[in-house]
Amino acid sequence: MRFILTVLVVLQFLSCSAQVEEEIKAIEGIEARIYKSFKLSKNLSLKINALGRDGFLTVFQIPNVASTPSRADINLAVDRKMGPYSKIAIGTMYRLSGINNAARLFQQFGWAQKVNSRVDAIAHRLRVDETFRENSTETRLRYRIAIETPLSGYRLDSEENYFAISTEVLQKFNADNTTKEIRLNPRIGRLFKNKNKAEIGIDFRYDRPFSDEEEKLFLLQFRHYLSE
Amino acid sequence: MSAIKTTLLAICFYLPLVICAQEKIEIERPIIAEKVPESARDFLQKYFPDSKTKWVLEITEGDNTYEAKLPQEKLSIEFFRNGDFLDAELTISKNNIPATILREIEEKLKSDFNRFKYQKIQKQFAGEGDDAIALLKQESVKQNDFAKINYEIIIWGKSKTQESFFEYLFDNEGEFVHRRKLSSLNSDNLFY
Repeated sequence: MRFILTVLVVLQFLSCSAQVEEEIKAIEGIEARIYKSFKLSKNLSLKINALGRDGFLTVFQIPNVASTPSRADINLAVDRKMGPYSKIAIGTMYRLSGINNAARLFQQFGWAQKVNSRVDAIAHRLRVDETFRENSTETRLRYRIAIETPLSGYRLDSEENYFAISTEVLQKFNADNTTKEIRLNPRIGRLFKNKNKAEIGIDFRYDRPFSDEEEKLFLLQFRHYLSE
Repeated sequence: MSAIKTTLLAICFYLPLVICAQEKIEIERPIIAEKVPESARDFLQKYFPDSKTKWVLEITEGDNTYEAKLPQEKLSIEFFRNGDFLDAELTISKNNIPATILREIEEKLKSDFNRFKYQKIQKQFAGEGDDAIALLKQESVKQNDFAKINYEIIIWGKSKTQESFFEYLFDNEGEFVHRRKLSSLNSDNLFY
């Protein structure tokens, strides 16, 4: 009897261990984005951006880390300057991701401020977006703050590197519940002579933070901003 | 395999960035004091011996000048490549411009734009170095053949035909001297 109990306890322990090992603690991936801006009039611009995302560390099979599913997005937005440092935009996105394609509309207001000679700009963005999937609709209210500072000198000039970091909070509303997400996105960039910018960074996304259903996503990101 | 494809895609996006040379804009590069001509350093030592100074090499349309930045005094002093004095610029507020001069300046700006906003105002002391610094330090209150005052003003302006940042130069009577459109920065990475 004692032997049977011991075996049952050991089996239960091994089964728990196995479950812990299989539990997904984080999701990883690599993402490349390219942005292009077209000037439509003195204060109207068309912004197009395309994104590709896929798993990156799949070959290493890291325990408790899953790879993000492949996806491709295309975004179109019309952006209007409201003043020297503020602009509004409306746009749309279509996402291809196998079985869960989605369409999105978004509206945003952004404004920037120059702080001092060391920090080139602090930019704020308030965005509302609505995502439509086959069986669900989700609305998100988002606020993002971004800071950009040159890595040398007193202002960002061409052929110089900079550091940028942004953090964003998202409140998501759908038919069943309301959840939160936090994002942190530090990156290193370079401004080129033709005003193009290129960045490499990490995008950390923490969905439903500090809850049982929390989900962490780490993306290695490349961004390429082509100027007007 | 798909991760490798994505990486290659990212590299393909990245490579064209290295190939670029289209527009010239004013560029500032920080440099160490030892690389600045001795005459410029001596000039600064003579008039501002106790000031904290940061040196930059300013590259404008192929021409290089040296600029000493004295942040505590809100002052920058620019020198030619050979170390000769070029001008000194003191950052001021709109209220520091005499009312009669400001009226002239704003008349010109109102004629150029429907809306405008001041971004930065600098009082410029140009001419012979010793005379210009005497004017700056208010040891001499009169302009002469060897020293004169201008106002360099950066504004954001909006008219029916354009909307941009501009740099204006006015003389000490508020007479318009010249203006140039400033190159705008790509800030898409902060909003998208």
